[in-house]
Amino acid sequence: MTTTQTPDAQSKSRGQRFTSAAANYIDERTSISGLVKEVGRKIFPDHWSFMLGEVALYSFIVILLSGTFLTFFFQASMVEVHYDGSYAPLKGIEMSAAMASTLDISFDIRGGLLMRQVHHWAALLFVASIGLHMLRVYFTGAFRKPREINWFIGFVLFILAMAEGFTGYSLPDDLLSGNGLRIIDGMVKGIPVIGTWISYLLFGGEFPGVDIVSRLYILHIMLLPAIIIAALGVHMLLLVINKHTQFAGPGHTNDNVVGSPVMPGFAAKAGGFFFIVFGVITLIASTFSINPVWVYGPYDPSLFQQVLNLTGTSDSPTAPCDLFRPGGRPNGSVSPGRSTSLRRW
Amino acid sequence: MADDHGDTAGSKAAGKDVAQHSAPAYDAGTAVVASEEVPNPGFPPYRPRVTDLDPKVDKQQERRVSALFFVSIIGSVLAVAAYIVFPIIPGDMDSVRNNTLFLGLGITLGLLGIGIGAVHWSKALMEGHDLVEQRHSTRGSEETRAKALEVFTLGNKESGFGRRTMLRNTLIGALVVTPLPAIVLFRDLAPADDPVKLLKHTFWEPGMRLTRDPSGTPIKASDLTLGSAFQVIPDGINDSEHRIEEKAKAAVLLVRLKPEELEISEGRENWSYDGIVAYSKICTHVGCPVALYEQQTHHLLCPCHQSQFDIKREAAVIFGPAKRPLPQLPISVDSEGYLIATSDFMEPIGPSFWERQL
Amino acid sequence: MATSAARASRNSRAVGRRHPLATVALLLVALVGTGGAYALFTSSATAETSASAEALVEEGGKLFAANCATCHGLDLEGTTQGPTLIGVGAAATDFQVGTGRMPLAISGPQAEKKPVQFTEEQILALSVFVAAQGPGPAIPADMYLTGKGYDVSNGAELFRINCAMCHNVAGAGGALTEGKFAPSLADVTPKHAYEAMLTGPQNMPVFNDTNLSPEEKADIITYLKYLDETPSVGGFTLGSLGPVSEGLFIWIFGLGAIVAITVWLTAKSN
Repeated sequence: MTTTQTPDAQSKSRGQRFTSAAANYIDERTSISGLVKEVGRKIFPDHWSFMLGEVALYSFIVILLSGTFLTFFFQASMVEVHYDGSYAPLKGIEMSAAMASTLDISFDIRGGLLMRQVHHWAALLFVASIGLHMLRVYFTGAFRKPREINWFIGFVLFILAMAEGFTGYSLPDDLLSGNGLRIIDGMVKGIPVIGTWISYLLFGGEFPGVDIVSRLYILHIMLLPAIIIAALGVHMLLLVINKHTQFAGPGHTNDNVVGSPVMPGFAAKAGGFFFIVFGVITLIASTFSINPVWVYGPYDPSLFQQVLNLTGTSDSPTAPCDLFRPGGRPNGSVSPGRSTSLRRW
Repeated sequence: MADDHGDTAGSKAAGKDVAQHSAPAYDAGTAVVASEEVPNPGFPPYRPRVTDLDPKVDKQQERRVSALFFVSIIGSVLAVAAYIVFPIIPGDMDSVRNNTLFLGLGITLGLLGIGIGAVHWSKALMEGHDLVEQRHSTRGSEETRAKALEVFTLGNKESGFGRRTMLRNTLIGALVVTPLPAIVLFRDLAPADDPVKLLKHTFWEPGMRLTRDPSGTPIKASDLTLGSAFQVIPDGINDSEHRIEEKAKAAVLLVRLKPEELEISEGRENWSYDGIVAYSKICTHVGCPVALYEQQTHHLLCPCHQSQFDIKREAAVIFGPAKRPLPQLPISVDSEGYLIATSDFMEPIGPSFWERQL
Repeated sequence: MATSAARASRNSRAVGRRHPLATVALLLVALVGTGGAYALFTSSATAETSASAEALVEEGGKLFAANCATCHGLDLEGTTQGPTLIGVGAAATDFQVGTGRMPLAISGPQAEKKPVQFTEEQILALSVFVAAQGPGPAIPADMYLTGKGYDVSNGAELFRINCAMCHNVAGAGGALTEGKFAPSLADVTPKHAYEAMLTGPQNMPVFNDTNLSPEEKADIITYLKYLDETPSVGGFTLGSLGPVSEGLFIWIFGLGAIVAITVWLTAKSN
């Protein structure tokens, strides 16, 4: 802010002279001084729950960074190949190029597994922090006028984040993702009148076909991120226009914002917080396994595993459904001859 | 403060007062001139930090932040070193583990050093007073709104958008119709066949042998002992053009019970062979493979949404979201004793779809 | 007031006195019973170590009569408490007794693994005795039980096709219906894994030699040993339970850590 004013450049040191010359150069071409004046000392209130949206933003940036690395090695193709990489229990097994390249990223590229795990953990943190952020906004009433539109945009972002999660989860074409896709296929087929055709067009023929991974890939790395970035921009712009909400407290009123200014205190905190979030994700990713696709194996439509299990201990576990089971449910089978299509939805 | 919200006028006044008092000097928070109605306690006095009072501590904290940044440098260098020192040896899982762990820990150190350092700098050393900013209504001022209105009126007048209704309506009509070609363009996402026909048939044909998954070797009736469960695919499916798509419909689970345990309904007397029955593995809910077979209770459990089917009662649904029993594959044995299908499934397998009439 | 209070306290004392006494008595009976039984078994085992096959059957018969006949019947034909054992073979006996599932401790949804109650010789004797009463699957040959040297990738594929739906792709185990479950396969001995496939204990389906050949079973065991011996490349596995435990982890520990940091971040400094 002060650097843009350069009346007495003579009396300054070389470094200062360079800085003011550079600032002058930029301002004469962008008039950025107005923006710095407007935003530079904007006040942000201090409360831990106000940082949750930032967690979502930062994990999104981590996702973009790690995801870009992964695109350099991933092959979004369902061409059948015989795996010939380093993981012994899958050697010679037929799988799609997508699965084989995922295994190569995991086992043959240094840091590849780390980046996969960073990407996946960051994606989980992204959705979880959006969830918690929305709870905070809801329970503090921060969605009310004039912020309804921003609440709606945030909700759309939440849906988009889950769409990103689903498309990304489907890409490696492993057993888990293939069964996830199959569930989606079953749900799509259940849409009245047009369901069968939507499923048919989506998969480029019968499930699972050979197109779905490359189609989801384009959505996952181009269309959905582009929409998320645009929506995020509007979300942040409206945040600045409406100013941040704050909790009641001594000196706080409906007409003021109390806190620290963007430059320098808040910027240092928020900037530092980005590195902390990134660091925590990297720490989790380097010590905790996530989505070990080599254990799941390639997708085969006749295979799956029990995922909702509560076992691994010596106690007798129970399928979650049985917890709610009063004594069986009346036979749900409708005699095939007379059931109508509509009834089944 | 909760009281303030009930009285806008009062809180406004309080806000103004607070702003006036705190704006000129940072330590003015104690000076509160509350209006008569609303006793806003105002800002609490600024509690000086140790770094504000003791220059020694200030210096110490500065060194600490600097040390954190230095740790970050070391971490990043260590990450580069780990990349070189812990290479991946093909086939050696320990090397993958070490590469991931140490590279990750190095990067973690590099990131957390910067992050914690910057936050600590901000908290301990940067100016610590709370500042106050006035909120303005998001709504534009009356003057601005009048100007905006004028812009629209002029635009309407100069273009004749409201007056020339035919022009306007045809434009709207044209805009509505333009996306139509885009919708049509998506038709070729899938080949031209009728999906419904495909969904109603599977790879099974009369006389086709039941074979083991994945080897494709045929199964004799005598191979199944009581309690056996075979994962079955049709003969020749491994060489078919659409192997995976066909397998997604044709997968079958073959089990043997005592013949007297089966409750066979009318018309299905010839669908089983000496207690051996074959059912589609594709769940009638959303299509997951149902293969968790309990050989004593004869229950089949779907791993996705916990639907349960009773093999004794022709795979009737006994729990869960599935609505229909699993379709049964009619089987028999050929002259050599191998199990064969006597027909395709009698109904479409898998989840419901609109055109699924029987 | 005073009398009623006294009565109340006397009542409670009386009730309280009966319980510990009953427990002690019960404990005594149990201790004497198990100790006596143990002495009986060990002495009979040492006495007949050098016995021939017939003597082995005879010893097995004694052990059976003492430990198993209550539920399975003296003639092995089963009772209302337990199924018939005629024709189950040595493999089933070796698996059930060798993993401690039998004798059953309590009746529940299914027999659970617990400390083995017999010596190896006693288990052999029991197995031989049961096999002698009716032919059944025999204890597998050692050549299939090495856990290495077989085709690990074929084993992995067969495991995914035949086992993973219940036991989980990583062999971590999984839930079945009404309290039953497929147990974890971590550190199961090759012999017991083989016998379980061969005989289908409890609700596990039978994978006889015409379904999975002995070589194929050995392939699967090789894969199980590979899982046991290979470190998790990605780090801690969170029980290998898939997305459910991963999601739970990020909500509780991931987000928990982040929230703790935000609290530190926004707290006023000293």
